[in-house]
Amino acid sequence: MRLDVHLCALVGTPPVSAFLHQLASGLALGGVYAIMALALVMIFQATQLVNFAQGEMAMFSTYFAWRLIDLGWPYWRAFAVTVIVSFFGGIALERIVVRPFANAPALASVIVFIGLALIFNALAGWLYGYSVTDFPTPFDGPPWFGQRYLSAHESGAILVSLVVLAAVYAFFRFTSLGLAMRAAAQNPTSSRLLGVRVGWMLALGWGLAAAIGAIAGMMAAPIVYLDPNMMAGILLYAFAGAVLGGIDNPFGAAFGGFAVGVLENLMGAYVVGSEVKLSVALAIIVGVLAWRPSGLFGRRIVARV
Amino acid sequence: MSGAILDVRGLDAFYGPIQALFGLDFAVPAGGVTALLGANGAGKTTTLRALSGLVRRTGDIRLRGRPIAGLSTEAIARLGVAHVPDGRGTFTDLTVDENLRLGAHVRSDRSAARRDLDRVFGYFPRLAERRRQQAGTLSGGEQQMLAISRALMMRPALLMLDEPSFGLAPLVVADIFRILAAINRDDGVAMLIVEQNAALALDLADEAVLIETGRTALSGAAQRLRADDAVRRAYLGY
Repeated sequence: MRLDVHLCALVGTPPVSAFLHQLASGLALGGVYAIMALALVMIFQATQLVNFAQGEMAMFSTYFAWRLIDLGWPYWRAFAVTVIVSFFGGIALERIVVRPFANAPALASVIVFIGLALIFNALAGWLYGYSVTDFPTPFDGPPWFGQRYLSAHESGAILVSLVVLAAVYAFFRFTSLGLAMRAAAQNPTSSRLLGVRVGWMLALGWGLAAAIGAIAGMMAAPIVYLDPNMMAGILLYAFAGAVLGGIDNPFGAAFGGFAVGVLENLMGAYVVGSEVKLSVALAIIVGVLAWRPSGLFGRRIVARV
Repeated sequence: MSGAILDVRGLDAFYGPIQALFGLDFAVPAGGVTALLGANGAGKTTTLRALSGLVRRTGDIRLRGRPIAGLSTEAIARLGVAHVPDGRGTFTDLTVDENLRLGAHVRSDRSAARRDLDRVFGYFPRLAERRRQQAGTLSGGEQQMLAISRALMMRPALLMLDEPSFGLAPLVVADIFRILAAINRDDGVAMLIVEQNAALALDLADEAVLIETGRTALSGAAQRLRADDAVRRAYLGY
């Protein structure tokens, strides 16, 4: 009899638990946005440029993982190899494609990024086709901890995002390589005078951004499905999240990513329906920026000269 | 010149098509201090930037006899040239500690680097008190101390200082020059120092070079330049 009561409650879905459900699943994609936002911030801090190809790079990595899994590789091995290959792919891209434009006007770099995005998109379509495909999740099975707000994959995706964010934080905060990368981004000339190889630090930044982007793609794909355009909307939300939190602040950007994920879901469920939720979410972000132009956690450095 | 840590012959430097230095010759003796003097725009800062490879340059530059004119800025730093740039080059968003750790970035001898950290805190106790503070919040004098300390963390063969007195109160300047003298005396670090304040620089220096519009106008023992009438009138003001 108790079971019946329980089932009735689920079918009728009381408002509070429906709200919690929307909130929680917003966090799942929000984690993906947070990682992508962090990838954008990494490049932005070093170059003051937004890498518009970040999303398509992640999509391409995700296809690479899909290909490995399709070949019969176990999920986590495919995952690890994809992250490593993406890391070196990111370094190679910086060295070969981006580096020649290091001293070019910003708009030239923007064109390069847009070109890269189009190339990866077309390449994925050409290699894998444009049909929408399922992507496996390593987090199968019943929801975690007996709760009913999040699927196993959503819980896993949130966990993976948090692990990635913590790992990136620890790398930049506690390792001397991470410190050198921060220094190179902040004051390249001073860094070179201390023997820091600034060019390599930038390439490394691209490698890291590509690697964590690949993770974001693999976590997003089971939710949004795999196709060459899967990351277009995600990158837009991630960019919005980064700007909302403050694009010069990694913590703020990650927070912004989560916030946008939740906002998007709640808007879609309660306010406007999923067709126009994107515009409403962006409208709210514009509103916040009008009030705080450098983002919620944007730079307020105190400095004496 | 034998026994020179740095030997410069016929140094030219260029900003794009504009030539800024014309055949400078000078040396820094091992364990010694050489001062570069001259008016604003004479080319003192450019000389340091040329030596570090931050501007295009030609000529013969030798560090301990090894030619370095073709090397990158990073490579020159890794050979032991510590350049404290004008404006101090502080990493304002990083803490004092992180700034100092960056000085030891290219070193692999961790325990020696830790001892050097204690050593620079010995010279500049104020920095030890502010270790965890964001470097951008330090006063100008403290940032200059930090820049010198960061350079010392490299265990340099040659310390190049660009206007360490710039914008600082006279008492702070006196303090910093006293410590520079101690560093030179106790640790035998050779120095190439650019200064507007010629009297101060000549006190510290063994040798001096007077630069006018990118050319060597006069060079020799610091004592001799101090006694030179033209130098005295133009740069010492008495």
